[in-house]
Amino acid sequence: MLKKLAALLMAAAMLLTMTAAGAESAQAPVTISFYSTQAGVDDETIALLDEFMAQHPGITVNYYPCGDDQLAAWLALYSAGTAPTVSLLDVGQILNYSDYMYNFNQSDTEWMSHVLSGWEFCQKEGSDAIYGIPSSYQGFALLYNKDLVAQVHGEDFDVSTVNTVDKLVAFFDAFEAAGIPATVVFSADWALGSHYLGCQLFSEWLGDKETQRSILKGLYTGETKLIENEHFNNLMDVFDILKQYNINDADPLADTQEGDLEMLATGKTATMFQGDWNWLQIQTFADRDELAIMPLPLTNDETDPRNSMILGSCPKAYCVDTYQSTPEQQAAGVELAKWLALSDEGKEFMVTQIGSTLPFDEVNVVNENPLAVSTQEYLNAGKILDISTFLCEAPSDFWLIIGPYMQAYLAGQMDRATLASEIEAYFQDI
Amino acid sequence: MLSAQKRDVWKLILLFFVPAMFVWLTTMVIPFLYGIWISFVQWDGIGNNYEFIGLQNYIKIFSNAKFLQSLGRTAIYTIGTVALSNVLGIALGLLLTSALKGRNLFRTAIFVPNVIGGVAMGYIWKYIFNYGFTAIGISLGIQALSTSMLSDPTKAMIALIIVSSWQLSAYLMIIYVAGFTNVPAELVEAARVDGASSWSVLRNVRLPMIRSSLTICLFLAIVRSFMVFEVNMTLTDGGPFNTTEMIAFRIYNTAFVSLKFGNAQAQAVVLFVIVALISVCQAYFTSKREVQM
Repeated sequence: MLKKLAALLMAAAMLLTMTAAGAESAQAPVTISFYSTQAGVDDETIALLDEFMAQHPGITVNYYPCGDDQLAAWLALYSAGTAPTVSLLDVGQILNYSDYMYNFNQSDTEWMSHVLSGWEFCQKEGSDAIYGIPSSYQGFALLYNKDLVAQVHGEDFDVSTVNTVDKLVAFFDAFEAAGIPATVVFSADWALGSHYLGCQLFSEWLGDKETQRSILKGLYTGETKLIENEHFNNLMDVFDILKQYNINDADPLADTQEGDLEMLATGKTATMFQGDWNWLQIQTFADRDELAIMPLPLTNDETDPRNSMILGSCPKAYCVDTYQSTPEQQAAGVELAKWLALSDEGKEFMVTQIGSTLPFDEVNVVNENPLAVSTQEYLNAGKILDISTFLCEAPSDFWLIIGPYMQAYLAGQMDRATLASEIEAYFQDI
Repeated sequence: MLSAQKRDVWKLILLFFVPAMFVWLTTMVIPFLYGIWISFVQWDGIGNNYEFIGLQNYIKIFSNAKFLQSLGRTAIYTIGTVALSNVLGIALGLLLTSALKGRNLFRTAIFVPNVIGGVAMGYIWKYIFNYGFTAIGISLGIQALSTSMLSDPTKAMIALIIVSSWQLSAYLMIIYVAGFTNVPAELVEAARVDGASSWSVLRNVRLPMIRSSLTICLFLAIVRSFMVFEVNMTLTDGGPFNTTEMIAFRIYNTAFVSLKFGNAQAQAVVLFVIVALISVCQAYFTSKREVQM
């Protein structure tokens, strides 16, 4: 009897110990870090992380703000052995370093159904692994000044009717006739090399994903001849039109982004090829209702739906490190990444502080960025051209090498055939 | 058994030499050797998967016309900046060691550009070149000023040299001021008594007496010019169409945009060798001509 009692007591003691140990591991505090490339909102990000920590008492999050050198600073953290557990990075960078990133497409994936668009920006060709959660959606095409359009084309003018290249020329001509320069071409190498050329060239304009990939791969093998490619020529034909109507035509490279945006917002010019992210700069000199986005048609086929679409992408995503983070940190990191993207607090932050469109369901925050509202309308209507082939599969320095050639083309220092051959030579040199 | 004297020496070595050596080794020597190692491998910037490829990175950079062009234009920029900043520095040094009213105020005012960071300065000057000078040119009908210097390859290089010299000369001025102040007044006085003109006093007395300042200033100017980065990035961003991309800016882009770390490091090693050779030669030859007092 005594033996039985002793055995019972020992079993009870062991059970208690194990339970206590289990409870301890469930609540084991874990410290993780968050690196954000979203500059200029450090205080707000810290407040957001404080809210996360209040809701998740076992997790402490250290914040690493980015400097001017976003990728360099991020790599330095890895070199120092202090890799951020969660990072908000450009999707291209996430895919470049996917060997060190957590694959979200495993175990519980129910939560992923709340992300409506953008997973393709976090995937590599031929793999179903997903290395990031999209943080926002961005649209770009032709920004236009609503007041000027109403003034020149009439209050009831519908910009969606500008769905051919000829109509675009007529649209521009009306501004010129009214003494208003029709457009401004922002000449930064990244704007010309990436946004105008790269994003549009390797996009749905080429056809389906396989066709886009075959054109891109053909540049590596030397099979793609751009000067013979109809889409490349359409793109450059429209660029010639933008050049012709450029308010900076006399000195096309002597501009700044702020100066160009100010001209658009203050009515000195009617349009500008850029994106909804520019609202953060524009809002200092424009009223909320003055600007919107319209498609940039590239052909004269008005039945082609692509002439009525804008370009869209998920430029940044939250990723979780697996290289230097422990499994416990990774689990906490996944929790943080999901919370930042999908919680009400995270959504409110992205909408109110960054002015982003969100590719998620149940977004109940009013967006004060009229350009993002415009993007959302195109997104809801399915009028977005996919550019994931360029962002995810083209070389990371495409804009750096090709942007200057586009500048030379803009300044009349290079012809189209030379531009095409320089792009082909760049791919051969990689 | 060490004697008490030797023990004291060792204590001093431990106290002063070892910490300094530790800092020097960890912050200078080891990163430098690691950098040389990286130039012989292919590496993604994060992991430990270094793939040794021998001299491939060096062969690649020397067969790349753009690298050689970038080196060439860096040399042109360096010659221009070193010459202009030193001429300005000497002129300012002379002016501010003369009997000028309010010279301390001028010294402070002229030194201010050197306190402004390269990034801020580059952006400020970009606006001046793109909007300030062009507005003046257009309103006065001066054709040469009515378009931005930054949109023409040659003029953009000149603009880069002007802005860099404007900043660097302020720093060099301080060294030249110290040099001119230390020229014995009796030497200058004696030359004047002998009938030397102001130009002759400057050429034959004052300038030879500041050769040690000249050695330092030329060294600083050469090194700074070869390593130029911030002004290059913010003022011209390598443009127009890559015609002002200096070697340091190119190295940065190769590493952090193209993600070719081994290639970038090979370029950095070549830059180091060039700068070291030129600087050592310059210091050797100019110091040989210094006047010992």
